[in-house]
Amino acid sequence: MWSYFILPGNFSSGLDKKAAMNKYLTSTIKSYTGLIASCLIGAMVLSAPPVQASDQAAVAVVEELHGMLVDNMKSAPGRDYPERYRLLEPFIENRFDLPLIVKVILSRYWNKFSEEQRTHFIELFKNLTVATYASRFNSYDNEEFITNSVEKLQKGRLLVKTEILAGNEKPVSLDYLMHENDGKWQIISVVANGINDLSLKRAEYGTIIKDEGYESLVRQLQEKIAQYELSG
Amino acid sequence: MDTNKPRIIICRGLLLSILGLAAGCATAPTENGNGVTPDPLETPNRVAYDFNETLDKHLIRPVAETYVDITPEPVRKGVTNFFNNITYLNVILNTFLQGKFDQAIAGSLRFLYNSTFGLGGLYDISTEWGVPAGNEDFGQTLAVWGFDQGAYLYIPLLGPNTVRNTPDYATSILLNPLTYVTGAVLFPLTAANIINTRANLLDETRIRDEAAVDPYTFTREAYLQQRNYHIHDGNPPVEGYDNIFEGDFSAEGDEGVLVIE
Repeated sequence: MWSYFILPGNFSSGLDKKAAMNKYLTSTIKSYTGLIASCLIGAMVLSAPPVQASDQAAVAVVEELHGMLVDNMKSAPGRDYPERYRLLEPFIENRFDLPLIVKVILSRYWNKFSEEQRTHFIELFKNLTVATYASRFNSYDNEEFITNSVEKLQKGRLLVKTEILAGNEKPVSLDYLMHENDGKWQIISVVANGINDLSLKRAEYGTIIKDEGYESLVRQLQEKIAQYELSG
Repeated sequence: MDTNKPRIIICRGLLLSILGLAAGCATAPTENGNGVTPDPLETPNRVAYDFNETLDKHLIRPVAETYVDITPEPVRKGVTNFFNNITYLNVILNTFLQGKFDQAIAGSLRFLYNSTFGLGGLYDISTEWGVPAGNEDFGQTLAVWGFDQGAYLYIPLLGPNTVRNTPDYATSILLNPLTYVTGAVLFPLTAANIINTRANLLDETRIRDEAAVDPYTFTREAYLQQRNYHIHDGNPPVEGYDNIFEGDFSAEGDEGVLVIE
């Protein structure tokens, strides 16, 4: 690594410079070739059988969600917001572990809640999640969802790494944090370009509860849902 | 006219030293696995945030929206390419400083090609030729070298930052060729850069306004997490994802901002 810092010395004379430049160019090209080769080998290895059944089940959940989103996007605006909402709701209810998500987001406040408050908040959060998906994925611009890889985390959790490609735009990386609950794979967080929705909401909701109280948080989330409904 | 540039550099230098002092006073919070840090300067940060939001709402955003309305997309693309290219020397230097030698050479060629064949950077031909732009800066270099993140800072006019990131203003200004041109050229170009940058962020801020219940906290968390993502070149350690599930959710200090009693 330290050899990198003596570069200016290598480039001291004109001739040396040219030779050095050629050398580094060649090595750069070589390393790209190497990269492509290793990608190809990697692709071959990945497409070969030893993909575990659990991985496949988790990937299938993510791809089902992506399929629904693309279908909604392609069918909009003929398929209006209430219809998109209705189609997404059962999936999100089933395939997002909403009680766990809410428990993590509300973090230390969770234990202070009554059973009734918990049930109410989980329902509210489900509505917010469905509304967000129904509203945000509302037009199609040749977006394509690609599953790249699966990484194992602690306690059997998996990270399913995907990307949204859209024409010339920079790809958006979308990672799904998943776990197996009662024999079925469920999503517990979505990480978009490195931003973990769970941590983000935990910090945000915590601030609101701390500064303004729980009732204010509930009211503001209801307003968000109403806004999504309005803007369709 | 020429007297303008030292003055700008001095002003920036002064700002940096003030921030440095502030950093010295603040306790250095440790980063947990989620890249989440306490926000010891929250009170002054919120003042700066409100100031920026007011300025944005009444001046910068309306101008950026008008700019988007009246400027064809390819022209805006060219403007973005130009500013990305002219600030790219800072990316190259920091790629070197982080020991990514191949990428730094590729980055140098990228700068060379875009500046010449790409007509002064207006066309990003290197991306088309398979050398996409890197994302490096001196703040990331300091992180790679093992410096702590320090407190989160929201700086008037400049926006979200961390203490560790502030020296980047020095390297990015010194390595920007525009720093060395006369004010008559510099000021209109800087204004164009600000408006164009803001225009490119219109979608992001719309999503933030749609989604955030507390935009200040939303901005801070999104910024800190995305910094962590870029520091690790898009592959942050996965332990961060696990840490959030640890504990019984009633323990003290699992996250700074939530500790209230």
